Amino acid sequence: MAEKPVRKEDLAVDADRARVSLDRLYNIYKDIAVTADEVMQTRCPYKNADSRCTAKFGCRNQFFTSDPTALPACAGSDLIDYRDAWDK
Amino acid sequence: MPITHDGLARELEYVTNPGEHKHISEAIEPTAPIMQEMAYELIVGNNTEVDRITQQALQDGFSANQLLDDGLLNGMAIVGVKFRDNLIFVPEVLVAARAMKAGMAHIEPILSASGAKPAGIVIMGTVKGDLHDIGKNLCIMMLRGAGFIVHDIGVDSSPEDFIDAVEEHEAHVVGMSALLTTTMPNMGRTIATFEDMGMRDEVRIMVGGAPVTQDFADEMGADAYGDNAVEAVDKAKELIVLLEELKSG
Repeated sequence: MAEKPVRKEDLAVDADRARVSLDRLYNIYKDIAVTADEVMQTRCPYKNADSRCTAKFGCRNQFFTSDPTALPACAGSDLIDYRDAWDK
Repeated sequence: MPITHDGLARELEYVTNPGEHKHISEAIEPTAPIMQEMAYELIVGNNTEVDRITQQALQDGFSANQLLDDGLLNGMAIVGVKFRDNLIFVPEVLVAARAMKAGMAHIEPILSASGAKPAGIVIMGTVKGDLHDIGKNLCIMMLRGAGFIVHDIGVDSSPEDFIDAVEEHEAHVVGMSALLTTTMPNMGRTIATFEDMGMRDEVRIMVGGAPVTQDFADEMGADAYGDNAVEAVDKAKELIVLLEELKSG
């Protein structure tokens, strides 16, 4: 059954429960950060799941399409160090 | 009770480990439709919707605990699994973290009113001449997750940008990031500017970035060096303690 909303006058926070929640959030983020460090060894961190480039700087692997609003495609290979293609 | 939000139900299908699937399903199933909608919008990184839904839910009488547990955390748990399993990547994680921030912006004042103190105020930026921001953004995500209030001044930040931000937000810690060996010296210039302005004792300064080392940080006069986002949190906590000790004399 769906949890019912509490009344406005009962908006008081359960501080202990909130602390547990924030610890859980921190642990999720920590796992993400550790995974990010591993993934970044081989895959450019600016390349999204659609292999589009989200970087705000130039990169030789950016492949622009005719759509000026679209993010450029990433033409980089994950076998080559992506940092060499970044604009310095 | 089955999950009523179709989008969230589809997202849950990405969680293929049976134990994790059961755990997350059991957390989502009893929640109200608006909480499921919030979790979904966080997963897809829609910060505008998370902002709107959070406000709506508070008006409807949901508690900050419910919003945090039933909406935001359930969403971020799925983001974490999808990232670990290479279904999404760093850019998607960062937009989800931005959506989390949009929701937390309404929850944090309630938590503060209940006595929960922020861990500290941090200014984060990439130094002048440098446009690389992934490392900085991951650090910001982690610091916020650890309870810090973080003001992001973005990329290509001059020493004056850092100083203005510290003054405006009365920050305790400054975090500087650089990816290029050519821009690393701007960390030293920024520290020197804090000294010239007579503000060096007011803040603790930490640095990081791929080419930065502990030796370089020491040479520049930084107070701490972090090798990664997790370490950035540990260092920031240490610096806050140091600063409090210094201020208490």
